[in-house]
Amino acid sequence: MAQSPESSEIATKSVHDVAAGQPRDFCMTFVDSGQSIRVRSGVPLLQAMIAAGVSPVQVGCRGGGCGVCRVRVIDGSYTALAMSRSRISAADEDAGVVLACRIIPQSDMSLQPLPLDIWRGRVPGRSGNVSHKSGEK
Amino acid sequence: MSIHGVLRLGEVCVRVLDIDAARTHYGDHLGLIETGRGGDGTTYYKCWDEHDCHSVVIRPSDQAGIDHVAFKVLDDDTLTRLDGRLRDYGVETRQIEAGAYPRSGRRVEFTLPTGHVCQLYAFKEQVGNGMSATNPGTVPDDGYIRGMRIIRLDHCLLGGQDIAASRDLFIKVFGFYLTEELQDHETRAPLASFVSCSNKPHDIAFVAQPDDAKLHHISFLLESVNDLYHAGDRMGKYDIPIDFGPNRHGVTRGATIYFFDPSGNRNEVFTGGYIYYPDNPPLIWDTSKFGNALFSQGNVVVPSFLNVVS
Repeated sequence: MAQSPESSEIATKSVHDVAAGQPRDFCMTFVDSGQSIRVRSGVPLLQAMIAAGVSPVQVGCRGGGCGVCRVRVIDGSYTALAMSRSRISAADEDAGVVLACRIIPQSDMSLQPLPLDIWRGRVPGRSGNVSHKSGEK
Repeated sequence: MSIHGVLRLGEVCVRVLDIDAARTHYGDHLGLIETGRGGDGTTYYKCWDEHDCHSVVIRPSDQAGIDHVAFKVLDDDTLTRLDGRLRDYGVETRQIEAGAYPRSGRRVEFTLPTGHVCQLYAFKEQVGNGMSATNPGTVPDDGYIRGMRIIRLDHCLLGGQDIAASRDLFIKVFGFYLTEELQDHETRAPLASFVSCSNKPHDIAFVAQPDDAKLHHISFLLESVNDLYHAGDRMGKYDIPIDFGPNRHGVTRGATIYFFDPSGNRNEVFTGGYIYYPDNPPLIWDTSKFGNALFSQGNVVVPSFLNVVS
């Protein structure tokens, strides 16, 4: 039940409602490694991963802007805060491809790390990379 | 040297995903002074020791990143001259009439080789810095300097592919100087280029990124290392995500903390550095001393600093 970014206010409200009520722990399982962590209700997934010292994705901006903490939700429900459309498209979001920093688990979840490699395996400054032509246009 | 062409980076317009959270960040936590709001929620800020009515603009959007950067130039004749120089260099310019941007004179807009929209303007309404222009004293009244005690918007670092071309445009068209460059130690390809139109180690810089039109950070000047620590304390108090710091850059020698706004746009607060003159030799760093160039207390390469952009 991923919510659209436009409903971030609703998502935020529901987070607060959960936080105000009885806190619950949910179990997050990463399908590739089999690692699992507990997440307290109302806590963003990435924040819980940092606290647990288990982060199969990189920690980046923590605000939905950079995209490096991308994961695919295999199973489970969550609410989502706004994520930059330049990193997570509407189709991505519909397919459960989200940013760990912006989702608030609402149940136990199964997750697949989907780290964003912006350099696509290349090394900056080396041949076969970005062009470095200079001079007059 | 006297500054008679491009004066400074006078405005950045940053896209934010949640305008209320962004106002809390830039207004309350950074302590920028709100000077206006637009109908769509766009909000305008100045830093305390800036005279122009705004330097930081935040605009609600579904994408983080930067809409444009804008440089203030000396006067309207300079604006006309630099427009001509851009076109002579082969850059298409767009004319924006006065008032199209609030409280601003006409602007000349163009797109950098790295995909960033860049503007020049000669006039923006001035509202002062909290002190009179006559017998000003030295500090404004209590409450004018707030939050992280940010003095002014200082520079920005933009990410894109052909950073050499953006670097060269600023040098050849606007007369900026190359102050420092970080190069790959084998290929000598530029990984980050720093250029100045003033006595500062940089007024704008470019970092190699696989995608164009990216924002690495906008940077704010603080008065002292004490204020840098004060800013860091506020980041802890308000759970502002810190990317790295406090530390000191090798490049530019600034003492720095990098952190993120609630939409993932990187901000920097910094203090110190050196005074640049145009007869300084460009300082060249390379990746054999990558860590020293980046963060010189520990000489560490911070992965997120290289691949986290908005």
